[in-house]
Amino acid sequence: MYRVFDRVFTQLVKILTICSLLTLVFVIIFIFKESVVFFKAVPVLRFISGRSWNPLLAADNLSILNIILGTLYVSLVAIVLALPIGVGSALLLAGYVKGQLRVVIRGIIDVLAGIPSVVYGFIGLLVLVKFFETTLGLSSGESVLAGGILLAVMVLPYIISTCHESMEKIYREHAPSSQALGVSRSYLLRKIILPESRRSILAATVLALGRAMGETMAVMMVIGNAPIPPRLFGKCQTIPSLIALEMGMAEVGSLHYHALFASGLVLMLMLLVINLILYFLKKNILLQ
Amino acid sequence: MKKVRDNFLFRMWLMLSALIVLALVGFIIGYIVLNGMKSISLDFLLSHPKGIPLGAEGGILPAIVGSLLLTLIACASASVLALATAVYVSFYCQSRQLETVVHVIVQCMAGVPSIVVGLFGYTFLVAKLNLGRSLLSAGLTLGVMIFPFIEVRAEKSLREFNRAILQSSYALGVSKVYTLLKLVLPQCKADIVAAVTLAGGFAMGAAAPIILTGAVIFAPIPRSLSSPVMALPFHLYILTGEGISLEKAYATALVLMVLIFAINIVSIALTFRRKEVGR
Amino acid sequence: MNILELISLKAYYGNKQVLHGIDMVIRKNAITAVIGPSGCGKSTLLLTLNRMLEECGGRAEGEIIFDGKDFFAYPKEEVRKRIGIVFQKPTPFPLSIYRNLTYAPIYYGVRDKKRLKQIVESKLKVAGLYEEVQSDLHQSALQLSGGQQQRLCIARALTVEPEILLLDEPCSALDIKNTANIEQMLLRLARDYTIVIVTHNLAQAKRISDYTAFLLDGELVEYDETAKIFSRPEDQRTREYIEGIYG
Repeated sequence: MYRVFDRVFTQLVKILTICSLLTLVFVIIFIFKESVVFFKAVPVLRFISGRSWNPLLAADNLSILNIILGTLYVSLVAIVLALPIGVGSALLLAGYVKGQLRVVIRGIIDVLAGIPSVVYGFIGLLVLVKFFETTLGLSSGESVLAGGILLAVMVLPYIISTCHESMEKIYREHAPSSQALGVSRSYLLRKIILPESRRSILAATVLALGRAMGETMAVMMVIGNAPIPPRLFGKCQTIPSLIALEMGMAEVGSLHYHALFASGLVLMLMLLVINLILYFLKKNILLQ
Repeated sequence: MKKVRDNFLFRMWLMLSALIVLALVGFIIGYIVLNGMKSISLDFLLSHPKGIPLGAEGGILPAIVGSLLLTLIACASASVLALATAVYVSFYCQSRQLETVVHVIVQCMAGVPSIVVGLFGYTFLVAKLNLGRSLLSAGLTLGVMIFPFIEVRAEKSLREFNRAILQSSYALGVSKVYTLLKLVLPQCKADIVAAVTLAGGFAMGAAAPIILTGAVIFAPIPRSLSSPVMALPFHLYILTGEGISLEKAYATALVLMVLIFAINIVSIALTFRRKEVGR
Repeated sequence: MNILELISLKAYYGNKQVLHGIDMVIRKNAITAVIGPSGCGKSTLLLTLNRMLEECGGRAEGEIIFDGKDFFAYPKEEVRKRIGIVFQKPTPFPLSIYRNLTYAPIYYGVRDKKRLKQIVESKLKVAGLYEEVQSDLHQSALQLSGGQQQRLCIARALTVEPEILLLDEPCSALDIKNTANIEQMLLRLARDYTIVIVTHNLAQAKRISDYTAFLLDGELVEYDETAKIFSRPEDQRTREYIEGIYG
């Protein structure tokens, strides 16, 4: 009775698995292939080291150093702002907050992760950019800093949850023996929990960096999107926002179109490196 | 008294960061809710966008329906494939190497930014397969985006199932499939459904993958898989980006957030529900 | 009469050899105890006899004759149906008591509600659990005590009507009272089933078994009637093991 059904089910699982893996591999190869066409016209090094981006001119004018720098700059600003706040909150949660309250606070923080990026962009545009323009008197509030602050808020929940999980575990391991010594809780957190969780802090940083670099909508709405060398209070352009803005204009098959794929590939390779680092860090954390 | 000072600074740091986080959450929610409440009405929810430029007046019904349909297609397509993959990797796969290969592919895909997924959907689904800017193209693109998310969580849940109990089931001469369907899935059901709903929340809020694959400034409620759709995040982007109507934008943001929170609450409720013993 | 005959049976985990050629016969409707120090291969022996060794990442070599035919030629599902196993730690399924016991029969095609109910009741009675749980068969099996859970697992193993029941230290996690319960049950079961029990507890082997095998470092040192093993062991090592524990 179950024999036939068993075999059908097993085959179905295998076929579906093969389908999904092929799809994923196909997506990755497809992007790769569409980018390689561009690199036949413009050498890779030229593409990533040149500073001008103008799709209306000749192929030589398609290069993305400024945009790569913009992507990195915005993301790094975000990490620098978010890390201390995230680690601090995670420590507080692990050491001082107990039971129901902790569940509630974790839930509240997860709310941050659930807010769609367009909504972040919307608030960023109406609050942050406006604040820069009216209160600080900048001519344009759309800037690297605005993007960085916005991204910092967006990556906070990822940093907190990654750190908190391992900190809580370490705390549970060491709290009894530390309490037995009569040492204060903040001393324990400072001297043992914080240094012991450096790996997961690193993992959280890498995770957040990946999120930040791949973010499109929120960043696009507040950075001004000008492919110029980024400055903290100046406009800039990131790779995702470049793709989102120009894809509609680029004719399928044109050099401009392939250049957008190529920049997508560059972004993916940067993220791939970051994600592989995260994968191995995670493995090591589990092994510990 | 360096020690006392250090301890004090340390505590200040912790308190401050937590305060900042809570203040941020409070501000963001309060900002959207307070501003959105002013211009939301039943009429807004139930009518089509009107006015010049389009969207300045009227409502967002097609966008709400569009977003729900997109989410549904994304979840349906992604969860079937992701579940099968998770089951395969945690129950059938015998070789460690193959397992690692699957994990690396899934991790790679998880690392692909949503806009690049959108780029793929645009070129392959819309242009090459000639599906056009449509509900189907956009839904499938979102499906590709949430696949890794569902797979990773489903696999984790399946793997956490007690190995000794599995062994006892096999020891009765019962097949893997029967064990899976009668013992494992009933236990992991809540986790898996929670993962799918959470992924649905992501799909619903994502604008980047659908800009090029199916979302348009105005469309009626889609009649078929091949019609273009309106979607809440894209509509919000257009309302703000083009400066059409701030009030409508606030209201749209509120609707979008309420929908996503509703989904998240379902997911959390499922995660926390005690796993009852079935009869 | 012999139901199982092991001929030069070897077992490996990866490159590590755990059983170094075991030759022994298991007699029908008797209780055979397998004793020996930790790590001597007792549990591996049981896993081999239920074809569960593969699931645990090991492999077996050698020959076993089961019911007159080659053991390894049977489909492994059939072997597992005919040779049941109960593990050291109770492993009730996260289902109700009733569904724990109907789990396997339904798989093997029993659909009739009355028949299922009958199986549940008869196996619970055999396991001496019926009196304790009859009022609420639909409560979760996880709410039972450790001893009850273990008896439930034995009852569950019996629902597929095995000919042989393998038990891997079934009482090691239980207190004296529960142990006594299970021992009495095993003595009752021996009328209809062949039982092989691995145990740490020499007194237990002496109390309930008809035959005793002493395993050391993956080798069968001595195998004989229980009374003889415990009174006049032939091998020096057997004597030392038995006396060491006693004295």
